[in-house]
Amino acid sequence: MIFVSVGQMLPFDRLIRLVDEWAASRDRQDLFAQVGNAKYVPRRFASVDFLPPSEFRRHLCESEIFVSHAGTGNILAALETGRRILVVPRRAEWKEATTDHQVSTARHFESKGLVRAVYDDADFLPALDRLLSEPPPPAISSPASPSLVARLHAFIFEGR
Amino acid sequence: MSRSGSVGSQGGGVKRPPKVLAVASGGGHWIELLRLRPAFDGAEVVYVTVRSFYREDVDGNVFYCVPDANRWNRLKLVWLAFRLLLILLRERPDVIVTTGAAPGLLALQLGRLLKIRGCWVDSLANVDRLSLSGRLAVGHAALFLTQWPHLANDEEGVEYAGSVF
Repeated sequence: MIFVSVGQMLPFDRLIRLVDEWAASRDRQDLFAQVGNAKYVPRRFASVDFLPPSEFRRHLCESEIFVSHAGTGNILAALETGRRILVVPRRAEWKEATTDHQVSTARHFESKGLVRAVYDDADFLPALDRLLSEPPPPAISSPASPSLVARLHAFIFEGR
Repeated sequence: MSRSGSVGSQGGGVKRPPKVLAVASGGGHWIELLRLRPAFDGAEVVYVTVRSFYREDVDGNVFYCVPDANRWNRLKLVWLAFRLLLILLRERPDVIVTTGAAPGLLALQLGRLLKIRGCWVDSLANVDRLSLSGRLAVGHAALFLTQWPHLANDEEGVEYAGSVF
């Protein structure tokens, strides 16, 4: 199963449409999407607007690939479960986000080899094909870095 | 408005654990806040966020859901500020910790008026510069943390200590 999620801010119909094209051309229907406030309705697979965290994690765990906008929440949640991840950053020029910060996020996680990223729609279909034949990354641990935890702990308990 | 069981920190005798008000809006802000939880070990934590279904992530803690507002909707911001003020007066936390965005900024601003120490952890998503709400929060947070070493700035009190990742 391929799980698709675009978060819950502005619509991101471009990504839903790309996944729908892929599903049609590869003749696959085993996909499920969380589409937020989308206007485009995928024809090839089922979708919901929102998912509570437990449902979101269940779909993640059942999926072979996670296709997502380049939001830190989705990326971190998927890395915690050791998924193969394909991200498409939201772009401000198409009113998918208020800034292009997701492009930076995508480049960062891509540079660490933790996600694959697509910046041009024309690359999407082959990128998803390629990812299906790649091995999944190792799962990351769920807490923040020890130094950050220690700094915050000192602030809370020692007032400094 | 008072809740039983919370004794002021000036109360002598047994030292009670500090109370943390942990605030985040939805999506990445919330996930990043959850990853900070080990820092809260030993404290009493009250969570404030914008979606009621996040309650299941922090079962067993006091949980508040507030309206999601942003800078484009002033009326909603005022309503959000009012709700946060009620929560602050009711819970009387010792510390506010937030990963943003608007609810965290307002909580820190109100908290400062009430002499509650605040910590802003700017989102990992802000690689190139601090977030807009983060830049507004700089003067209101006793501790301001960025998750990117290159965004740390001594003069402005922007500190780097690691990331949620």
